[in-house]
Amino acid sequence: MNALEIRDLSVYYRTPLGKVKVLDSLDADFPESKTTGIVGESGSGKSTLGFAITRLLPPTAAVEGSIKYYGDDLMKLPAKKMREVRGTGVFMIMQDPFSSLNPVKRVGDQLLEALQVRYERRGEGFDYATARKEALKRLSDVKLPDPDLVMSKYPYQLSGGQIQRVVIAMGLLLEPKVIIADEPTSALDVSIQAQVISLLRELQESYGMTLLFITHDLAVATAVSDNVIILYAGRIMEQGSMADAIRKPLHPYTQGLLKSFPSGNYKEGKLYSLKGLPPSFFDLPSGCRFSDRCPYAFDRCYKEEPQVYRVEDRNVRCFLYDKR
Amino acid sequence: MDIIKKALGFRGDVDAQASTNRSSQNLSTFYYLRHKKEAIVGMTIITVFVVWSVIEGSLQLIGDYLRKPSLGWVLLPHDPIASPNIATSLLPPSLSYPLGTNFEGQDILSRLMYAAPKDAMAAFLVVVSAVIVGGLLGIAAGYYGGWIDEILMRLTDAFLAIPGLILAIALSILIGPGFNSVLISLTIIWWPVYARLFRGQTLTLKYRGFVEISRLFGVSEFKVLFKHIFMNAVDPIIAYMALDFGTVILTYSTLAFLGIGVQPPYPEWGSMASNGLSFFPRAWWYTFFPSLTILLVVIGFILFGDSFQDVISGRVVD
Amino acid sequence: MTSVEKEEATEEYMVRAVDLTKYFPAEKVGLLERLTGKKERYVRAVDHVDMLLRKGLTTALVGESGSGKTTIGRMLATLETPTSGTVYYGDLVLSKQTLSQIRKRVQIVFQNPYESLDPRMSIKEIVEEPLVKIKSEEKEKRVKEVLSAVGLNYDDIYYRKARDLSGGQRQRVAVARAMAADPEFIVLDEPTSALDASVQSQVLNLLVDLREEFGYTYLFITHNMMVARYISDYIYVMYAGKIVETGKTEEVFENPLHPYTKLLLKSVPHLEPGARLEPMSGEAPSLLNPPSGCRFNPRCPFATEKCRQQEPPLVDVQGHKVACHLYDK
Repeated sequence: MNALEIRDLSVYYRTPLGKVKVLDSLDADFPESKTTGIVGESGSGKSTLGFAITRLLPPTAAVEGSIKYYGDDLMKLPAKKMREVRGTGVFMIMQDPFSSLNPVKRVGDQLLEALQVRYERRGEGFDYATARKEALKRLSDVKLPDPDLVMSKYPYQLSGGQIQRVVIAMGLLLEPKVIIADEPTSALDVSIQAQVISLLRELQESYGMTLLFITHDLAVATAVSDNVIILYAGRIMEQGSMADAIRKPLHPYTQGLLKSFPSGNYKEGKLYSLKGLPPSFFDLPSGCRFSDRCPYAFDRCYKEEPQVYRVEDRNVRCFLYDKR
Repeated sequence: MDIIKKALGFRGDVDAQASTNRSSQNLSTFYYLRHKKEAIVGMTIITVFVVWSVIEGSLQLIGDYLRKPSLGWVLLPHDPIASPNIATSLLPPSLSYPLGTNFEGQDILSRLMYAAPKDAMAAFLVVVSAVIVGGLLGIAAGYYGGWIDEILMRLTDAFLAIPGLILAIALSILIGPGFNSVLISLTIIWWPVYARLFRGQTLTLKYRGFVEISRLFGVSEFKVLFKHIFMNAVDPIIAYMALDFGTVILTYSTLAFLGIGVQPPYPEWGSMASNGLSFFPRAWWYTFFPSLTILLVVIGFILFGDSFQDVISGRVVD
Repeated sequence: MTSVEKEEATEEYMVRAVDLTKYFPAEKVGLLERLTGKKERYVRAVDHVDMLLRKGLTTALVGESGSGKTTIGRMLATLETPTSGTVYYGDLVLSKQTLSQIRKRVQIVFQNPYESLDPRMSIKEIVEEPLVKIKSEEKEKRVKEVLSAVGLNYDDIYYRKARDLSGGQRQRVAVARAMAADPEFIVLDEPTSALDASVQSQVLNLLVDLREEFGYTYLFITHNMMVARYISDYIYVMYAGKIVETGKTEEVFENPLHPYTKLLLKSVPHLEPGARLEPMSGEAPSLLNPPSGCRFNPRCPFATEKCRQQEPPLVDVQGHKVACHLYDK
């Protein structure tokens, strides 16, 4: 069963210089109770994907295609229904956790509010004492010490790591089926990042949630994900099991990313580096979007864009795998 | 177009989009202004006002220099400071007097056009001197901090606490009547706002990497203050200045309306509106057209300044 | 002079900091508050730190946010005045009199290339800014030289504004500007953290090449253990304003001794499928009121009573130095 099925999804932004297509005909399935890492550099469109699913794109964006959430096409859902999906169906954790909390309300009140929303949507009665108990339970689930104390604090009184946990606890209270985490750890320190990653992994497993983990860091994605989607300039370049992608990357871009990850010391040799820069959406290379940086590019790569090829249970968009 | 697109380096992510909007600022400023109706209206009014003021102002100056003041009104339909003529007194708008005449029988249109350079000059001189004085003091206060900052800020507090107009009236009376005294007193009440603005900008700029790093290069302090701080601080302030030209013209006219400033027989928009008021509503055109002129010019600056500020502060999303 | 200091002083060093300390006032205490007896409080960002940067080599300084690593970098780049302590730059001791001489030898590259380049200036103007007392024909020659050293083509780029460049290109320009001043010592404050993975490796390679060609001494500040391991010859690990471990990079990575270093290494995600992270508990302490004894004791799984009371000194253990009571004899 797939929690989310994306078909032929394209997202455009209107800019002063015309329309640009930042996500180009994406097809992807997100199987239930699995974590999918969405990996891409800046400008790959990875955040746009998260916002497209929650329909929180800016008004300058236009969307085509379908996003099916347990069979319902989110793109066709009326705004009121969509609001009901947001939160209790799909919950989003942002990179800047402060932006998801109200700065002038105590953490406890905000958690109880979230619970109230859930009770209302399920048609259950709200009972303060039980709700508070549940909130406290979730705060200790996310390993916050002194949940009582945390409940009485304002967001600014907590550290970035603590806030991110509060947001995760809020997500748990809403009991969503899908959590989209958009770079939830890139603003955090290494040791706190490790805490949050392990926590997300643990919670995902024990609650059987579907997690979409958006990140620019392939190593972080490796630590959380079962599956991976590698985005480059608005296209999915490789898609499949995370472990396979690390052990035997298929697409030259994935290979390059893996090889350029620093390991060892400079005395042992130079780091592999991909030449050039990710392209601008206004100036995409003709043919394969990776062609101008690809070490294996041949004539065809510059002329036509490769389709998706199925290789060993994985999808890859590269002519090297064209068996014709 | 391709170069512009490359330079913009537009990237798809939402955060990347926000940053390109800011970074593409200067490229798209005029693109944006050209496409916004308010901005076009504002720019048209300002252009007409400024171009006319420059032409008429030069003629008046040359006329003064050659001792032939009549050169000042060669382009005008009538002599704006003609001696009183009862025959043409308070004529309604007609073909020969498009905006009517005043009590002295002078053509209102000619007088309005004749007065324009003084208003333009007042606005320009007051705002520019306020920017220079306020900029110097504000940057010094923000950059050096400590007691300089403390003293200057309390001083600006004192100025900002007193209503500007009242202070300007008091100062003009103190210095004595006339165009120059109005300019001086307006500058005195005008600089504190700019000092505040520049200080705020300086406080954020002085911790920016490029300012800090220039200390390592042995770049002279004056250069750092001018090249890095002033030049970067001035951007948002330019937008404020555009708005402010209108405000100065309004205040200047208000002073004239109250009888302070340019002395008769020379025309001034504010005093014309004021004089006309005693014949209102019978000779409505006498006060109406001068007031309308002031209003139009002020609105022109406001429309332009506002749109300009939108671009600078990045409020424009697409 | 202790034996450690003696030994260090004999090595050929570029920069040596002894007992370096920086306290920042935590809040503004005005005249009125002082009269009412309100005490000033300080953030102890860097607390009695010794450092030795060897000539022609790269020393990495790793730590998490709030560890004081950036403050050390800024002090060594002379952008911040130490509260106490002495800094030697070769034969010069940092003081008001020697400042301008020392600044000729020192440059810094900041983390955020968007902040460190003046948005109004062209690339040519930016790179020639350090060339204060040089004739204009020579300026252009020098700008061409350093830009080509960082892999940028002068003719393509000299007229552009910084905002027209990508992050990687901007960081190259920042490095070129630092080089233009012909320094001996460059502080690199997280120079690759704001860059994409595929661009990061380009810049790291470039930095290694430049050092080899021009013999620079680097202080490379980073929070990324893998980057530190790649770029450096020597490494300092900081925690809450203190050095907890230092030594040759290979030794520290092969045989980390301090519990913090060990746990930090286990927190770093690796490209190994199925590997689980083992995060340490807790968060870094407030530097307004750091824990007594060893600053890591509240998070340390091995903490004893001694750790809570006594601050461990930095001592030689198994080829490198560590500040931990576990290794006390």
